[in-house]
Amino acid sequence: MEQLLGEEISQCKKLKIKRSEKVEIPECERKTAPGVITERSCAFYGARWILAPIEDAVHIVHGMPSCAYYGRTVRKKNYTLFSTDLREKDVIMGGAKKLYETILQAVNHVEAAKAVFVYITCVPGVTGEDLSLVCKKAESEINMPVVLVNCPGFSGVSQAAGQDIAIGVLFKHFIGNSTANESHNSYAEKSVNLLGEFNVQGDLDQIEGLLARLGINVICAFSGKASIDSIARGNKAKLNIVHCRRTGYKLAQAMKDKFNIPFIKLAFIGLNETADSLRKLSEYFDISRERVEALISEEMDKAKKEAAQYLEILNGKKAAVFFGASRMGSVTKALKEMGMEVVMVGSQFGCSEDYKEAACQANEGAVIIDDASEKELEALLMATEPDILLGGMKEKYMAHKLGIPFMVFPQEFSAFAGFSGFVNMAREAAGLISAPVWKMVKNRYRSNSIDKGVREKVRIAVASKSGIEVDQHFGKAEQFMIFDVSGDERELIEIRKASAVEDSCEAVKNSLQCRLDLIQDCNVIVCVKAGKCVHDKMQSDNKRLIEAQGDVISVLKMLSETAD
Amino acid sequence: MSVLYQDDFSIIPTHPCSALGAVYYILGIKGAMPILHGSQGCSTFVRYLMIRHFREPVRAAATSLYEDNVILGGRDNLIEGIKNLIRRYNPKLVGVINSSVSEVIGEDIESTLRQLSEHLNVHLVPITKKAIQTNYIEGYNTACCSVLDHTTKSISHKTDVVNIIPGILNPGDIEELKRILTCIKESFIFLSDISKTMDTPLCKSCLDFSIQDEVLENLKHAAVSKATIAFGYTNSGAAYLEEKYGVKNISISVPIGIYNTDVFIENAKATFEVENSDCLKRERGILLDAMADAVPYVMMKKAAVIGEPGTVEAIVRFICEIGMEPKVIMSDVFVKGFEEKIAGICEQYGYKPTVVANDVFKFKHLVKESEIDIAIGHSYAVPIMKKLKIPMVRAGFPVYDKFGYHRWPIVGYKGSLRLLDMVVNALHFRD
Ligand code: SF4
Repeated sequence: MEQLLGEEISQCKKLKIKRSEKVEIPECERKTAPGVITERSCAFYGARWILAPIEDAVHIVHGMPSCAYYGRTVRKKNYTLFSTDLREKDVIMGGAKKLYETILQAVNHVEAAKAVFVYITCVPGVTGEDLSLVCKKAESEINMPVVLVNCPGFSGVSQAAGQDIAIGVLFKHFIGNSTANESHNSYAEKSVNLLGEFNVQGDLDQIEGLLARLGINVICAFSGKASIDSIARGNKAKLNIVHCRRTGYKLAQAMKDKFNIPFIKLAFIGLNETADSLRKLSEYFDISRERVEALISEEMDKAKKEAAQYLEILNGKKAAVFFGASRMGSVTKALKEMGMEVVMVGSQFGCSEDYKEAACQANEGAVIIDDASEKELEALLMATEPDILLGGMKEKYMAHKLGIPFMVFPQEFSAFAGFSGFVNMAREAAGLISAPVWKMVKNRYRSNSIDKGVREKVRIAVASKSGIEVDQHFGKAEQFMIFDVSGDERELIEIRKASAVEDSCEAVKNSLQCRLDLIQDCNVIVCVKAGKCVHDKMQSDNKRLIEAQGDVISVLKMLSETAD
Repeated sequence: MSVLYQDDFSIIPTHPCSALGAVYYILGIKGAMPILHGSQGCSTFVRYLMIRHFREPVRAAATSLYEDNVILGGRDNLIEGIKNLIRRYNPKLVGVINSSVSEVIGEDIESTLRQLSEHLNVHLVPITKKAIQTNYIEGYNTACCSVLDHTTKSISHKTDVVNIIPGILNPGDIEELKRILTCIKESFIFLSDISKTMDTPLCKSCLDFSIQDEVLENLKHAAVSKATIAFGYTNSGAAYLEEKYGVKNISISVPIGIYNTDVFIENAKATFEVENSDCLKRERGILLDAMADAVPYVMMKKAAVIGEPGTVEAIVRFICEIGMEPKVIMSDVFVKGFEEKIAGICEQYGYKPTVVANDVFKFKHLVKESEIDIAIGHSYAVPIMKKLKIPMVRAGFPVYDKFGYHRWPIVGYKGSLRLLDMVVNALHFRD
């Protein structure tokens, strides 16, 4: 793989290979190249990611109706999302009036409404109409805050920009704005906020449960369990726990500056991480060591016992991880804890700390990539050959077609956080990997030692100038990559340059003959195209000539499959 | 109550953008790829929705416009994007779809493509009718006409073949249409066939775009066909072929229910000049048998229908046929003539439903007021029906909360039978 992609790797800034102790971090937070099938989404969706769970607010999209059509579904859950349904005339004449009317109408339909979020998407983002006055006017009319979330899809480089915008809005307009006059002891000494926790399938309940056993109380989880009120009270916390660095860190920093609330980065995914996090917390809050250790050992033993049968299956299996930045590092750690090897980590919009964390955990030689497009992902999966891929829904079916079991994040069935979450995760991974269906898939690239017969070695010449793709006609090929292939194993023997022989060729020999000589020891020749005489010659020599395009690995794999 | 069917504004729209329709059409051509000229969000959303519905990899690229492009224009992105796409996937046809962003910043996609196509050996098709204020039906139509415009040539002779433009149907529906047509005469071509691309085996070659299949070939020959059968409101392609090449335009309703399927089969027979087709008679009889059996369960029940206008219209007629009362009807998007069509169908059976378009919000209120017994439509209506405790049958696009819906038909006698079964089961045989 390193040899094959060798050329590309040295040029490619977003992809790194882990070698020995030195951890190189891919260059991240870059723009998406046009024309790729990006796995990223827009800033508007990032803002929805953060704000959608706030149920006592009215959410209005100011933009094309289709933004609202798509934006209502977040983490596979549907939320009510109003829209100003902009039309062409509004784009030309301005949509402020429509926005005003929509706000007044929509507020009537959300009973417990305490605030209004107005998302500005692409089209009004381009026209740049000033809407703050309308919001002010509506605000005084309906007597609750109306705030603009300025998140047109083209801002930033990915949905991460929108997440930052949304968090900025919460910080600026809501946190610390509690007017409620509550008695002081409702905020026990040990109260915290969780930043970057979205309560997928009860993750938050797991965490809250553990914290409660230490007497720690969660005021607000941004934003898996957040209401306008609990957000407003967020400043009363004694400590902020950053669960997801991407969505939590900036807020934690801002809250530290403004309210003097310290923060720590903790994770509740994986056994050791969860235990460590609990220890750190108890240290911070001065909870007795016995108490926390008792809790940990009880839960840990239980989880280990339950997970044992699954870990047996997972031991030594190879995993690849590709999703939104948030859980990249901690999930990688948890996979290691399950005894798996991590051969690839990547995300759509990770930051360098995320990559650092993940890279430390990954295997030697693992691929670390930022913003892989669909095609790159496909090539990397074929090169790294994982037993399972963990990622978002969008990659699922592509992985399946390649014969790779897939685990969907955010998860669909049970909590993955805390001690019992670890068991759930191991259970799901084990079930997916050992499913009988994968043994019935004939074209599976990977063969395990049992069904791998002894195969003959085949020598293949590939006409490729770039070293990545089959890109040359036989007669004009500048170089051939020579592979020895046996079953699923490939070895790049050498690269033979046509120029080397051409010079020494006698004049009588034409350039075709030079090339035929060059590859005379090969049984199979792969090139973009070849003339009729080459075809005839190959046939008479009992060799296979294959005209193909695409990247070298894919073509070689296809060859070994069709040979089955 | 028809006042409700207006194209004013709606506060919870169900208005999929034109890009969705265009992508839907292009994905029905194996070896073709769509690229959206706009911010990356739109394409990712379209992909995400389709992946959840079809449970297949969906490939739609974007030119990923950013803030600086919004100011300085996105021409370079478009050029680089198309080149990148071709290098990576090697498609045979690229449909370049405009978005609301590229429209507002005034991108001239056509001229860029014209320059590009001189150097590239790929069909580059601009799909650029308005993006603002149009919807997926128009997107589908535009894509269809643009592709035909690009691929067809004027040839004087006519063949015996019939073109089919399926519209926003599912892979299962298309398979069923093919089966029916094969019973009559095997002489038809599909101008977009999502059953080949969005319902594929577990096999790596499904990811390969350099393979082209007959659909692209078909498209080249669409002009010499005898007639084009198109369904519902996704029929502009048929009109285009008639106007330009004199291919007869047969625009009919989606064949759901007895009447609509009869019409479809009669039209097919007439065009093929075939008389008998006994195998379909038996199916028709079985459907009638089941309809008779179903009467006590469904009669006088009030139904709400929501979805793509063509499909909704056909379902409404079928509902009348089985003796239920269509009460609240919603089309995802505003299309001309829809309300009159629905009123016309229902009048024959003595019903007067309320018709709305593009607003889940109004729909919800009407459903609440009308004491609906059952709803039929796409998954976006599910939360409403759950809240109101009304049983719901999934039909149309998108259906992302049932496993494998897209694989089976609701068209033809057999498909209608399936729909009937689902309705009866939802009403009476629940656990
Ligand atoms: S990219 Fe722009 S138009 Fe598309 S969904 Fe995102 S905000 Fe809306």
